[in-house]
Amino acid sequence: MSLTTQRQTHPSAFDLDGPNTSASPWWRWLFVLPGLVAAAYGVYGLLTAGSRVPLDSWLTWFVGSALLHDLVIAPIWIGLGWLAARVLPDAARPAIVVGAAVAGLLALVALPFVLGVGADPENPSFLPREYGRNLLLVDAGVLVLAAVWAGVATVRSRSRAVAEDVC
Amino acid sequence: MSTLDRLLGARLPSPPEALRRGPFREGAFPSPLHSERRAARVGLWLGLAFTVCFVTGLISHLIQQPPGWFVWPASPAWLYRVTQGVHVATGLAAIPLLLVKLWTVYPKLFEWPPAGSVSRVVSRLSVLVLVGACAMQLLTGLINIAEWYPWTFFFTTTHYWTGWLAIGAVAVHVGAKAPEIRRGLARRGTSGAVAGLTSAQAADRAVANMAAENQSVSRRSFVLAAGLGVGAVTLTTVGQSLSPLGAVSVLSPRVPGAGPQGLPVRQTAVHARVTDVGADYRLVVEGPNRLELTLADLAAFPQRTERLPITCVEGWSASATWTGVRLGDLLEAAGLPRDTEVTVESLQERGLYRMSTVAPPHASSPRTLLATGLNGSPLDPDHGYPVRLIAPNRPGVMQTKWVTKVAPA
Repeated sequence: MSLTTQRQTHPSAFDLDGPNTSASPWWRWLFVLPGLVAAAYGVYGLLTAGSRVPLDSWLTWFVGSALLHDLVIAPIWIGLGWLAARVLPDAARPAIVVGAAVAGLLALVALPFVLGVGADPENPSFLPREYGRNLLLVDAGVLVLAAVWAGVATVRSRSRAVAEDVC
Repeated sequence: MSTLDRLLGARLPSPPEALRRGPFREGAFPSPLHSERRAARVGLWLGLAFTVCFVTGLISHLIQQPPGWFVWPASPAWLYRVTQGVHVATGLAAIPLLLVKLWTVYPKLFEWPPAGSVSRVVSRLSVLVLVGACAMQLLTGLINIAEWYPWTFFFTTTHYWTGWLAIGAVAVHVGAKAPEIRRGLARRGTSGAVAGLTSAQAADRAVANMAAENQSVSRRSFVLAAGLGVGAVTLTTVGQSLSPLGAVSVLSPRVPGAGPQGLPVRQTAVHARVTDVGADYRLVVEGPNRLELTLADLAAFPQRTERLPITCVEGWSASATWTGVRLGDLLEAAGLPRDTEVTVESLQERGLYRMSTVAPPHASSPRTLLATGLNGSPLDPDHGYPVRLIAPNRPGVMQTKWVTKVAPA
Protein backbone atom coordinates (compact mmCIF):
# COMPACT_ATOMS: atom_id res chain seq x y z
CA MET A 1 0.00 0.00 0.00
CA SER A 2 1.46 3.34 -0.98
CA LEU A 3 1.75 6.24 1.40
CA THR A 4 -0.92 8.25 -0.43
CA THR A 5 -3.58 5.56 -0.27
CA GLN A 6 -2.65 5.08 3.36
CA ARG A 7 -3.35 8.77 3.99
CA GLN A 8 -6.59 8.60 2.11
CA THR A 9 -7.70 5.67 4.20
CA HIS A 10 -6.84 7.31 7.48
CA PRO A 11 -7.09 11.07 7.16
CA SER A 12 -8.04 11.97 10.71
CA ALA A 13 -7.98 10.65 14.22
CA PHE A 14 -11.64 9.70 14.38
CA ASP A 15 -12.53 9.01 10.80
CA LEU A 16 -12.49 5.34 10.02
CA ASP A 17 -13.97 5.49 6.55
CA GLY A 18 -11.65 7.82 4.81
CA PRO A 19 -13.60 10.56 3.05
CA ASN A 20 -12.19 14.03 3.53
CA THR A 21 -13.49 15.78 6.61
CA SER A 22 -13.26 19.34 5.34
CA ALA A 23 -17.07 19.29 5.25
CA SER A 24 -17.22 18.93 9.01
CA PRO A 25 -20.51 20.24 10.41
CA TRP A 26 -20.26 23.26 12.72
CA TRP A 27 -22.23 21.50 15.45
CA ARG A 28 -19.54 18.91 16.09
CA TRP A 29 -17.91 21.08 18.75
CA LEU A 30 -21.20 21.30 20.66
CA PHE A 31 -20.71 17.58 21.28
CA VAL A 32 -16.93 17.24 21.50
CA LEU A 33 -16.22 19.92 24.12
CA PRO A 34 -19.00 19.15 26.65
CA GLY A 35 -18.30 15.46 26.00
CA LEU A 36 -14.66 15.82 26.96
CA VAL A 37 -15.65 17.72 30.11
CA ALA A 38 -18.21 15.07 31.11
CA ALA A 39 -15.80 12.19 30.45
CA ALA A 40 -13.04 13.93 32.41
CA TYR A 41 -15.47 14.51 35.29
CA GLY A 42 -16.35 10.81 35.26
CA VAL A 43 -12.69 9.78 35.31
CA TYR A 44 -12.01 12.24 38.13
CA GLY A 45 -14.92 10.77 40.10
CA LEU A 46 -13.76 7.20 39.57
CA LEU A 47 -10.19 8.04 40.57
CA THR A 48 -11.25 9.87 43.73
CA ALA A 49 -13.92 7.41 44.87
CA GLY A 50 -11.33 5.53 46.92
CA SER A 51 -12.37 2.20 48.39
CA ARG A 52 -15.85 2.46 46.89
CA VAL A 53 -14.44 1.91 43.40
CA PRO A 54 -11.36 -0.37 43.48
CA LEU A 55 -9.79 0.37 40.12
CA ASP A 56 -8.76 -3.22 39.37
CA SER A 57 -12.34 -4.42 39.66
CA TRP A 58 -13.59 -1.43 37.66
CA LEU A 59 -11.02 -1.98 34.92
CA THR A 60 -11.84 -5.68 34.72
CA TRP A 61 -15.49 -4.91 34.04
CA PHE A 62 -14.71 -1.97 31.77
CA VAL A 63 -12.42 -3.93 29.45
CA GLY A 64 -14.18 -7.24 30.10
CA SER A 65 -17.58 -5.91 28.96
CA ALA A 66 -16.08 -4.76 25.64
CA LEU A 67 -14.21 -8.05 25.20
CA LEU A 68 -17.33 -10.06 26.04
CA HIS A 69 -18.90 -8.52 22.97
CA ASP A 70 -15.86 -8.52 20.71
CA LEU A 71 -14.58 -12.02 21.49
CA VAL A 72 -17.72 -13.95 22.48
CA ILE A 73 -21.07 -12.49 21.44
CA ALA A 74 -20.10 -11.05 18.05
CA PRO A 75 -18.10 -14.11 16.82
CA ILE A 76 -20.96 -16.44 17.79
CA TRP A 77 -23.48 -14.30 15.91
CA ILE A 78 -21.23 -13.86 12.87
CA GLY A 79 -20.52 -17.61 12.87
CA LEU A 80 -24.25 -18.36 12.93
CA GLY A 81 -24.77 -15.92 10.06
CA TRP A 82 -22.03 -17.64 8.08
CA LEU A 83 -23.71 -20.98 8.73
CA ALA A 84 -27.14 -19.65 7.76
CA ALA A 85 -25.76 -18.36 4.46
CA ARG A 86 -24.46 -21.83 3.62
CA VAL A 87 -27.30 -24.00 4.89
CA LEU A 88 -30.50 -22.02 4.31
CA PRO A 89 -32.19 -21.14 1.02
CA ASP A 90 -32.01 -17.39 0.34
CA ALA A 91 -35.74 -16.90 0.82
CA ALA A 92 -35.66 -18.46 4.30
CA ARG A 93 -32.76 -16.44 5.66
CA PRO A 94 -34.49 -13.17 6.62
CA ALA A 95 -37.05 -14.96 8.80
CA ILE A 96 -34.45 -17.14 10.51
CA VAL A 97 -32.05 -14.23 11.10
CA VAL A 98 -34.82 -12.07 12.61
CA GLY A 99 -36.11 -14.96 14.74
CA ALA A 100 -32.64 -15.91 15.96
CA ALA A 101 -31.84 -12.27 16.78
CA VAL A 102 -34.99 -11.86 18.88
CA ALA A 103 -34.56 -15.24 20.62
CA GLY A 104 -30.86 -14.60 21.28
CA LEU A 105 -31.46 -11.09 22.66
CA LEU A 106 -34.15 -12.39 25.03
CA ALA A 107 -31.79 -15.14 26.21
CA LEU A 108 -28.96 -12.65 26.85
CA VAL A 109 -31.14 -10.24 28.83
CA ALA A 110 -32.88 -13.01 30.81
CA LEU A 111 -29.69 -14.95 31.55
CA PRO A 112 -28.95 -13.31 34.94
CA PHE A 113 -32.52 -14.09 36.05
CA VAL A 114 -32.33 -17.65 34.73
CA LEU A 115 -29.06 -18.23 36.58
CA GLY A 116 -30.66 -16.68 39.67
CA VAL A 117 -27.36 -16.20 41.51
CA GLY A 118 -28.85 -13.30 43.46
CA ALA A 119 -31.97 -15.24 44.50
CA ASP A 120 -32.72 -15.19 48.22
CA PRO A 121 -34.81 -17.95 49.81
CA GLU A 122 -35.90 -15.41 52.45
CA ASN A 123 -37.39 -13.19 49.75
CA PRO A 124 -39.80 -15.02 47.43
CA SER A 125 -40.91 -11.69 45.92
CA PHE A 126 -37.59 -11.45 44.07
CA LEU A 127 -37.34 -13.64 40.94
CA PRO A 128 -40.83 -15.07 41.59
CA ARG A 129 -41.13 -16.71 38.17
CA GLU A 130 -39.67 -19.81 36.56
CA TYR A 131 -37.30 -17.94 34.29
CA GLY A 132 -35.65 -20.94 32.61
CA ARG A 133 -39.00 -22.42 31.60
CA ASN A 134 -40.42 -19.05 30.51
CA LEU A 135 -37.38 -18.26 28.39
CA LEU A 136 -37.54 -21.68 26.73
CA LEU A 137 -41.24 -21.25 25.95
CA VAL A 138 -40.90 -17.71 24.60
CA ASP A 139 -37.82 -18.52 22.53
CA ALA A 140 -39.43 -21.71 21.20
CA GLY A 141 -42.48 -19.66 20.19
CA VAL A 142 -40.33 -17.05 18.45
CA LEU A 143 -38.32 -19.69 16.58
CA VAL A 144 -41.43 -21.63 15.53
CA LEU A 145 -42.96 -18.43 14.13
CA ALA A 146 -39.70 -17.68 12.32
CA ALA A 147 -39.59 -21.23 10.89
CA VAL A 148 -43.17 -20.93 9.64
CA TRP A 149 -42.41 -17.58 8.04
CA ALA A 150 -39.23 -19.03 6.50
CA GLY A 151 -41.16 -22.04 5.14
CA VAL A 152 -43.87 -19.88 3.60
CA ALA A 153 -41.28 -17.55 2.07
CA THR A 154 -39.36 -20.48 0.59
CA VAL A 155 -42.46 -22.11 -0.92
CA ARG A 156 -43.58 -18.78 -2.35
CA SER A 157 -40.23 -18.02 -3.91
CA ARG A 158 -40.12 -21.52 -5.47
CA SER A 159 -43.60 -21.24 -6.94
CA ARG A 160 -42.70 -17.78 -8.23
CA ALA A 161 -39.59 -19.25 -9.85
CA VAL A 162 -41.71 -22.02 -11.42
CA ALA A 163 -44.26 -19.48 -12.65
CA GLU A 164 -41.49 -17.43 -14.22
CA ASP A 165 -40.17 -20.57 -15.92
CA VAL A 166 -43.63 -21.35 -17.33
CA CYS A 167 -44.05 -17.86 -18.69
CA MET B 1 2.40 20.91 8.98
CA SER B 2 2.50 21.35 12.73
CA THR B 3 4.49 19.10 15.01
CA LEU B 4 1.24 17.64 16.31
CA ASP B 5 0.02 16.76 12.81
CA ARG B 6 3.38 15.19 12.03
CA LEU B 7 3.26 13.17 15.23
CA LEU B 8 -0.33 12.02 14.73
CA GLY B 9 0.22 11.18 11.08
CA ALA B 10 3.46 9.30 11.71
CA ARG B 11 3.24 5.88 10.10
CA LEU B 12 3.76 2.94 12.36
CA PRO B 13 5.34 -0.27 11.05
CA SER B 14 2.77 -2.70 9.67
CA PRO B 15 2.79 -6.35 10.67
CA PRO B 16 3.81 -8.75 7.88
CA GLU B 17 1.08 -9.25 5.27
CA ALA B 18 1.25 -13.01 5.93
CA LEU B 19 -0.51 -12.38 9.25
CA ARG B 20 -3.51 -10.86 7.49
CA ARG B 21 -5.80 -13.84 7.90
CA GLY B 22 -9.33 -14.67 9.03
CA PRO B 23 -11.33 -11.56 9.91
CA PHE B 24 -8.41 -9.33 8.87
CA ARG B 25 -8.73 -10.36 5.22
CA GLU B 26 -10.08 -7.85 2.74
CA GLY B 27 -13.80 -8.50 2.33
CA ALA B 28 -14.03 -10.81 5.35
CA PHE B 29 -17.37 -9.19 6.24
CA PRO B 30 -19.29 -9.10 2.97
CA SER B 31 -22.67 -7.75 4.16
CA PRO B 32 -23.32 -4.22 2.87
CA LEU B 33 -25.27 -3.64 6.09
CA HIS B 34 -21.93 -3.07 7.83
CA SER B 35 -22.26 0.52 6.68
CA GLU B 36 -22.02 4.13 7.72
CA ARG B 37 -25.76 4.58 7.14
CA ARG B 38 -26.79 1.68 9.37
CA ALA B 39 -24.29 2.69 12.05
CA ALA B 40 -25.55 6.30 12.03
CA ARG B 41 -29.20 5.32 12.17
CA VAL B 42 -28.93 2.71 14.92
CA GLY B 43 -26.52 5.09 16.63
CA LEU B 44 -29.17 7.79 16.72
CA TRP B 45 -31.54 5.51 18.68
CA LEU B 46 -28.75 4.29 20.92
CA GLY B 47 -27.63 7.87 21.59
CA LEU B 48 -31.19 8.82 22.53
CA ALA B 49 -31.39 5.80 24.84
CA PHE B 50 -28.14 6.73 26.59
CA THR B 51 -29.30 10.32 26.97
CA VAL B 52 -32.57 9.21 28.57
CA CYS B 53 -30.68 6.83 30.87
CA PHE B 54 -28.21 9.53 31.83
CA VAL B 55 -30.84 12.16 32.62
CA THR B 56 -33.11 9.80 34.58
CA GLY B 57 -30.09 8.34 36.38
CA LEU B 58 -28.89 11.83 37.28
CA ILE B 59 -32.35 12.65 38.68
CA SER B 60 -32.24 9.55 40.88
CA HIS B 61 -28.74 10.43 42.06
CA LEU B 62 -29.71 14.03 42.89
CA ILE B 63 -32.76 12.88 44.87
CA GLN B 64 -30.62 10.55 46.98
CA GLN B 65 -27.65 12.90 47.42
CA PRO B 66 -29.16 16.34 46.96
CA PRO B 67 -26.83 19.31 46.60
CA GLY B 68 -28.05 22.55 48.17
CA TRP B 69 -29.67 23.91 45.01
CA PHE B 70 -31.69 20.79 44.28
CA VAL B 71 -35.33 20.51 45.36
CA TRP B 72 -37.38 17.42 44.53
CA PRO B 73 -41.15 17.87 44.93
CA ALA B 74 -43.51 15.55 46.81
CA SER B 75 -46.06 15.79 44.03
CA PRO B 76 -46.92 14.24 41.62
CA ALA B 77 -46.57 11.04 43.64
CA TRP B 78 -45.89 8.94 40.50
CA LEU B 79 -43.06 11.04 39.06
CA TYR B 80 -40.10 9.06 40.41
CA ARG B 81 -41.90 5.87 39.53
CA VAL B 82 -41.90 7.04 35.93
CA THR B 83 -38.33 8.38 35.79
CA GLN B 84 -36.77 5.31 37.40
CA GLY B 85 -39.00 2.86 35.50
CA VAL B 86 -37.93 4.63 32.29
CA HIS B 87 -34.27 4.51 33.40
CA VAL B 88 -34.23 0.74 33.75
CA ALA B 89 -36.55 0.00 30.81
CA THR B 90 -34.47 2.22 28.52
CA GLY B 91 -31.25 0.62 29.75
CA LEU B 92 -32.64 -2.82 28.95
CA ALA B 93 -33.84 -1.64 25.54
CA ALA B 94 -30.36 -0.23 24.91
CA ILE B 95 -28.82 -3.72 25.15
CA PRO B 96 -30.25 -4.83 21.76
CA LEU B 97 -29.46 -1.41 20.31
CA LEU B 98 -25.83 -1.54 21.45
CA LEU B 99 -25.37 -5.06 20.07
CA VAL B 100 -26.88 -4.08 16.72
CA LYS B 101 -24.76 -0.92 16.60
CA LEU B 102 -21.59 -2.83 17.37
CA TRP B 103 -22.48 -5.37 14.68
CA THR B 104 -22.65 -2.63 12.05
CA VAL B 105 -19.10 -1.47 12.86
CA TYR B 106 -17.61 -4.83 13.85
CA PRO B 107 -15.40 -5.11 10.72
CA LYS B 108 -13.56 -1.97 11.85
CA LEU B 109 -12.17 -3.97 14.76
CA PHE B 110 -10.11 -5.88 12.17
CA GLU B 111 -8.87 -2.98 10.05
CA TRP B 112 -5.50 -3.53 8.40
CA PRO B 113 -2.92 -2.48 9.40
CA PRO B 114 -4.19 -2.69 12.99
CA ALA B 115 -2.33 0.50 13.94
CA GLY B 116 -1.38 2.38 10.79
CA SER B 117 -0.48 5.67 12.43
CA VAL B 118 -0.30 7.36 15.80
CA SER B 119 -3.65 9.00 15.13
CA ARG B 120 -5.22 5.59 14.46
CA VAL B 121 -3.90 4.30 17.79
CA VAL B 122 -5.37 7.30 19.60
CA SER B 123 -8.64 6.89 17.73
CA ARG B 124 -8.92 3.18 18.44
CA LEU B 125 -8.17 3.69 22.14
CA SER B 126 -10.91 6.34 22.28
CA VAL B 127 -13.32 3.81 20.74
CA LEU B 128 -12.28 1.29 23.39
CA VAL B 129 -13.21 3.84 26.07
CA LEU B 130 -16.56 4.43 24.36
CA VAL B 131 -17.41 0.75 23.95
CA GLY B 132 -16.04 -0.20 27.37
CA ALA B 133 -18.04 2.48 29.19
CA CYS B 134 -21.29 1.83 27.30
CA ALA B 135 -21.07 -1.97 27.49
CA MET B 136 -20.09 -1.87 31.16
CA GLN B 137 -23.02 0.39 32.08
CA LEU B 138 -25.55 -1.90 30.43
CA LEU B 139 -23.99 -5.19 31.55
CA THR B 140 -23.42 -4.23 35.20
CA GLY B 141 -26.82 -2.50 35.25
CA LEU B 142 -28.51 -5.71 34.13
CA ILE B 143 -26.57 -7.87 36.59
CA ASN B 144 -27.32 -5.38 39.37
CA ILE B 145 -31.10 -5.65 38.87
CA ALA B 146 -30.56 -9.42 39.17
CA GLU B 147 -29.13 -8.57 42.63
CA TRP B 148 -25.93 -10.38 41.74
CA TYR B 149 -22.73 -8.58 42.66
CA PRO B 150 -19.73 -10.35 41.06
CA TRP B 151 -17.46 -7.32 41.59
CA THR B 152 -15.76 -5.56 44.46
CA PHE B 153 -16.83 -2.00 43.60
CA PHE B 154 -19.87 -0.32 45.14
CA PHE B 155 -22.39 -0.43 42.31
CA THR B 156 -24.18 2.91 42.62
CA THR B 157 -21.01 4.98 42.93
CA THR B 158 -19.44 3.14 40.00
CA HIS B 159 -22.59 3.35 37.87
CA TYR B 160 -22.82 7.09 38.54
CA TRP B 161 -19.24 8.00 37.63
CA THR B 162 -19.03 5.56 34.73
CA GLY B 163 -22.28 7.13 33.54
CA TRP B 164 -20.52 10.49 33.20
CA LEU B 165 -17.68 8.79 31.33
CA ALA B 166 -20.14 6.98 29.04
CA ILE B 167 -22.28 10.00 28.18
CA GLY B 168 -19.11 12.05 27.63
CA ALA B 169 -17.62 9.40 25.36
CA VAL B 170 -20.90 9.19 23.42
CA ALA B 171 -20.94 12.97 22.94
CA VAL B 172 -17.29 13.07 21.82
CA HIS B 173 -18.02 10.21 19.42
CA VAL B 174 -21.00 12.06 17.94
CA GLY B 175 -18.84 15.15 17.43
CA ALA B 176 -15.93 13.18 16.02
CA LYS B 177 -18.21 11.29 13.64
CA ALA B 178 -20.25 14.38 12.69
CA PRO B 179 -19.56 14.15 8.91
CA GLU B 180 -20.43 10.45 8.82
CA ILE B 181 -23.54 10.98 10.94
CA ARG B 182 -24.73 13.83 8.74
CA ARG B 183 -24.29 11.66 5.65
CA GLY B 184 -25.77 8.58 7.30
CA LEU B 185 -28.92 10.39 8.45
CA ALA B 186 -29.46 12.25 5.16
CA ARG B 187 -32.03 10.84 2.78
CA ARG B 188 -30.55 8.52 0.18
CA GLY B 189 -29.91 10.19 -3.16
CA THR B 190 -29.62 13.70 -1.72
CA SER B 191 -26.43 15.72 -1.80
CA GLY B 192 -26.21 15.47 2.00
CA ALA B 193 -25.84 11.69 1.76
CA VAL B 194 -22.58 12.05 -0.19
CA ALA B 195 -21.24 15.27 1.40
CA GLY B 196 -17.46 15.17 1.56
CA LEU B 197 -17.17 12.02 -0.57
CA THR B 198 -15.24 11.78 -3.82
CA SER B 199 -17.38 10.77 -6.78
CA ALA B 200 -15.75 7.33 -6.81
CA GLN B 201 -16.56 6.84 -3.12
CA ALA B 202 -20.13 8.04 -3.71
CA ALA B 203 -20.54 5.54 -6.55
CA ASP B 204 -19.25 2.72 -4.30
CA ARG B 205 -21.74 3.69 -1.61
CA ALA B 206 -24.61 3.74 -4.10
CA VAL B 207 -23.77 0.18 -5.18
CA ALA B 208 -23.55 -0.98 -1.55
CA ASN B 209 -26.85 0.73 -0.67
CA MET B 210 -28.57 -0.95 -3.61
CA ALA B 211 -27.15 -4.32 -2.52
CA ALA B 212 -28.39 -3.70 1.02
CA GLU B 213 -31.91 -3.20 -0.32
CA ASN B 214 -31.95 -6.23 -2.59
CA GLN B 215 -29.93 -8.95 -0.88
CA SER B 216 -31.64 -11.82 0.90
CA VAL B 217 -31.15 -10.43 4.43
CA SER B 218 -31.98 -6.87 3.40
CA ARG B 219 -32.05 -3.54 5.15
CA ARG B 220 -35.71 -4.23 5.98
CA SER B 221 -34.80 -7.50 7.73
CA PHE B 222 -32.07 -5.66 9.64
CA VAL B 223 -34.48 -2.95 10.83
CA LEU B 224 -37.10 -5.57 11.67
CA ALA B 225 -34.61 -7.61 13.74
CA ALA B 226 -33.49 -4.52 15.67
CA GLY B 227 -37.04 -3.27 16.23
CA LEU B 228 -38.46 -6.63 17.27
CA GLY B 229 -35.42 -7.26 19.49
CA VAL B 230 -36.01 -4.01 21.37
CA GLY B 231 -39.76 -4.66 21.48
CA ALA B 232 -39.39 -8.21 22.77
CA VAL B 233 -36.93 -7.26 25.52
CA THR B 234 -39.17 -4.37 26.60
CA LEU B 235 -42.43 -6.34 26.50
CA THR B 236 -41.02 -9.25 28.54
CA THR B 237 -39.60 -7.02 31.31
CA VAL B 238 -41.45 -3.69 31.51
CA GLY B 239 -44.40 -5.17 33.45
CA GLN B 240 -42.33 -4.88 36.64
CA SER B 241 -43.01 -1.14 36.58
CA LEU B 242 -45.94 -0.91 34.14
CA SER B 243 -48.34 -3.08 36.14
CA PRO B 244 -50.98 -3.64 33.40
CA LEU B 245 -48.28 -5.61 31.55
CA GLY B 246 -47.33 -7.56 34.68
CA ALA B 247 -48.75 -10.82 33.32
CA VAL B 248 -47.17 -10.35 29.88
CA SER B 249 -43.66 -9.66 31.16
CA VAL B 250 -42.74 -13.29 31.80
CA LEU B 251 -39.02 -12.51 32.18
CA SER B 252 -39.27 -9.53 34.60
CA PRO B 253 -37.37 -10.00 37.88
CA ARG B 254 -40.32 -8.56 39.80
CA VAL B 255 -44.08 -8.93 39.59
CA PRO B 256 -46.12 -6.00 40.99
CA GLY B 257 -48.52 -8.18 43.04
CA ALA B 258 -45.99 -10.80 44.20
CA GLY B 259 -44.81 -10.55 47.80
CA PRO B 260 -46.08 -10.47 51.36
CA GLN B 261 -49.37 -8.52 51.47
CA GLY B 262 -49.30 -8.35 47.66
CA LEU B 263 -46.24 -6.09 47.48
CA PRO B 264 -42.63 -6.92 46.49
CA VAL B 265 -39.81 -6.59 49.03
CA ARG B 266 -36.24 -5.41 48.48
CA GLN B 267 -34.66 -5.95 51.88
CA THR B 268 -36.07 -8.59 54.21
CA ALA B 269 -36.37 -8.30 57.99
CA VAL B 270 -34.05 -11.28 58.38
CA HIS B 271 -31.39 -9.64 56.24
CA ALA B 272 -31.72 -6.38 58.18
CA ARG B 273 -31.71 -8.36 61.47
CA VAL B 274 -34.90 -6.74 62.72
CA THR B 275 -36.97 -9.79 63.60
CA ASP B 276 -37.43 -9.44 67.35
CA VAL B 277 -39.53 -6.28 67.74
CA GLY B 278 -41.27 -6.65 71.10
CA ALA B 279 -43.52 -4.74 73.48
CA ASP B 280 -40.60 -2.52 74.46
CA TYR B 281 -40.71 -0.88 71.02
CA ARG B 282 -40.89 2.92 71.09
CA LEU B 283 -41.05 5.52 68.36
CA VAL B 284 -39.05 8.55 69.47
CA VAL B 285 -39.74 11.95 67.92
CA GLU B 286 -37.11 14.49 68.95
CA GLY B 287 -38.21 18.09 69.35
CA PRO B 288 -39.02 20.78 71.92
CA ASN B 289 -41.71 18.38 73.15
CA ARG B 290 -39.95 15.02 72.81
CA LEU B 291 -42.31 12.09 72.15
CA GLU B 292 -41.73 8.49 73.08
CA LEU B 293 -44.63 6.53 71.65
CA THR B 294 -45.81 2.95 71.96
CA LEU B 295 -47.82 1.40 69.13
CA ALA B 296 -50.96 2.10 71.17
CA ASP B 297 -49.96 5.77 71.45
CA LEU B 298 -49.48 5.89 67.68
CA ALA B 299 -52.90 4.34 67.12
CA ALA B 300 -54.43 7.18 69.17
CA PHE B 301 -53.29 9.73 66.57
CA PRO B 302 -55.67 10.41 63.64
CA GLN B 303 -55.25 7.52 61.18
CA ARG B 304 -54.89 8.32 57.48
CA THR B 305 -54.98 6.09 54.46
CA GLU B 306 -53.04 6.85 51.29
CA ARG B 307 -52.56 4.96 48.03
CA LEU B 308 -48.86 5.41 47.18
CA PRO B 309 -46.33 3.53 45.07
CA ILE B 310 -43.11 1.94 46.24
CA THR B 311 -40.44 2.46 43.59
CA CYS B 312 -37.16 0.59 43.78
CA VAL B 313 -34.01 2.07 42.26
CA GLU B 314 -33.83 -1.28 40.46
CA GLY B 315 -36.76 -0.11 38.35
CA TRP B 316 -39.76 -2.05 39.64
CA SER B 317 -42.64 -0.29 41.33
CA ALA B 318 -46.04 -1.15 42.75
CA SER B 319 -48.89 0.79 44.32
CA ALA B 320 -50.24 -0.08 47.75
CA THR B 321 -52.70 1.24 50.30
CA TRP B 322 -50.95 2.48 53.42
CA THR B 323 -52.47 3.35 56.79
CA GLY B 324 -50.78 5.28 59.57
CA VAL B 325 -50.07 8.65 61.12
CA ARG B 326 -49.15 11.75 59.15
CA LEU B 327 -45.52 12.66 59.69
CA GLY B 328 -46.62 16.31 59.95
CA ASP B 329 -49.03 15.48 62.79
CA LEU B 330 -46.20 13.88 64.77
CA LEU B 331 -43.84 16.79 64.12
CA GLU B 332 -46.49 19.22 65.29
CA ALA B 333 -47.10 17.15 68.43
CA ALA B 334 -43.35 17.26 69.11
CA GLY B 335 -43.43 21.04 68.84
CA LEU B 336 -41.80 21.25 65.39
CA PRO B 337 -43.04 23.06 62.30
CA ARG B 338 -44.60 20.66 59.76
CA ASP B 339 -41.98 21.46 57.15
CA THR B 340 -38.99 20.63 59.35
CA GLU B 341 -36.30 18.68 57.54
CA VAL B 342 -35.95 15.46 59.55
CA THR B 343 -33.97 12.26 59.57
CA VAL B 344 -35.73 8.95 59.99
CA GLU B 345 -33.78 6.13 61.64
CA SER B 346 -34.34 2.40 61.50
CA LEU B 347 -34.00 -0.33 64.11
CA GLN B 348 -31.63 -1.86 61.59
CA GLU B 349 -28.18 -1.39 63.08
CA ARG B 350 -26.04 -1.59 59.97
CA GLY B 351 -26.39 -0.82 56.32
CA LEU B 352 -26.24 2.22 54.06
CA TYR B 353 -29.97 2.69 54.03
CA ARG B 354 -30.77 2.47 57.76
CA MET B 355 -31.45 6.21 57.80
CA SER B 356 -32.95 8.71 55.39
CA THR B 357 -33.51 12.43 55.24
CA VAL B 358 -36.99 13.80 54.65
CA ALA B 359 -36.75 17.18 52.93
CA PRO B 360 -39.34 19.91 53.63
CA PRO B 361 -41.59 19.17 50.60
CA HIS B 362 -42.02 15.59 51.78
CA ALA B 363 -42.08 16.32 55.53
CA SER B 364 -44.94 18.77 55.04
CA SER B 365 -46.84 16.68 52.48
CA PRO B 366 -50.18 15.50 53.92
CA ARG B 367 -49.58 12.21 52.10
CA THR B 368 -46.36 11.36 53.98
CA LEU B 369 -47.14 8.73 56.61
CA LEU B 370 -45.43 6.75 59.29
CA ALA B 371 -47.37 3.69 58.26
CA THR B 372 -48.37 0.80 60.50
CA GLY B 373 -50.73 -0.91 58.07
CA LEU B 374 -50.55 -2.07 54.46
CA ASN B 375 -53.42 -3.22 52.23
CA GLY B 376 -55.71 -3.58 55.24
CA SER B 377 -53.52 -5.47 57.72
CA PRO B 378 -50.57 -4.64 60.02
CA LEU B 379 -47.22 -4.33 58.22
CA ASP B 380 -45.45 -7.59 57.47
CA PRO B 381 -41.96 -7.68 59.05
CA ASP B 382 -40.49 -7.52 55.53
CA HIS B 383 -42.43 -4.32 54.87
CA GLY B 384 -41.09 -2.67 58.02
CA TYR B 385 -43.15 -3.80 61.03
CA PRO B 386 -43.92 -2.02 63.29
CA VAL B 387 -43.57 1.37 61.54
CA ARG B 388 -42.24 2.48 58.17
CA LEU B 389 -41.97 5.76 56.34
CA ILE B 390 -43.98 6.09 53.14
CA ALA B 391 -43.80 9.37 51.27
CA PRO B 392 -44.94 10.30 47.77
CA ASN B 393 -42.41 10.54 44.92
CA ARG B 394 -39.32 9.07 46.59
CA PRO B 395 -37.00 6.12 45.87
CA GLY B 396 -37.68 2.98 47.90
CA VAL B 397 -34.27 3.13 49.59
CA MET B 398 -35.44 6.37 51.23
CA GLN B 399 -38.75 4.86 52.45
CA THR B 400 -37.08 3.74 55.67
CA LYS B 401 -38.43 0.57 57.28
CA TRP B 402 -38.53 -0.47 60.97
CA VAL B 403 -38.53 3.21 62.00
CA THR B 404 -37.65 3.95 65.61
CA LYS B 405 -36.58 7.58 65.61
CA VAL B 406 -37.48 10.85 63.90
CA ALA B 407 -35.23 13.85 64.58
CA PRO B 408 -34.67 17.32 63.08
CA ALA B 409 -31.83 17.04 60.53
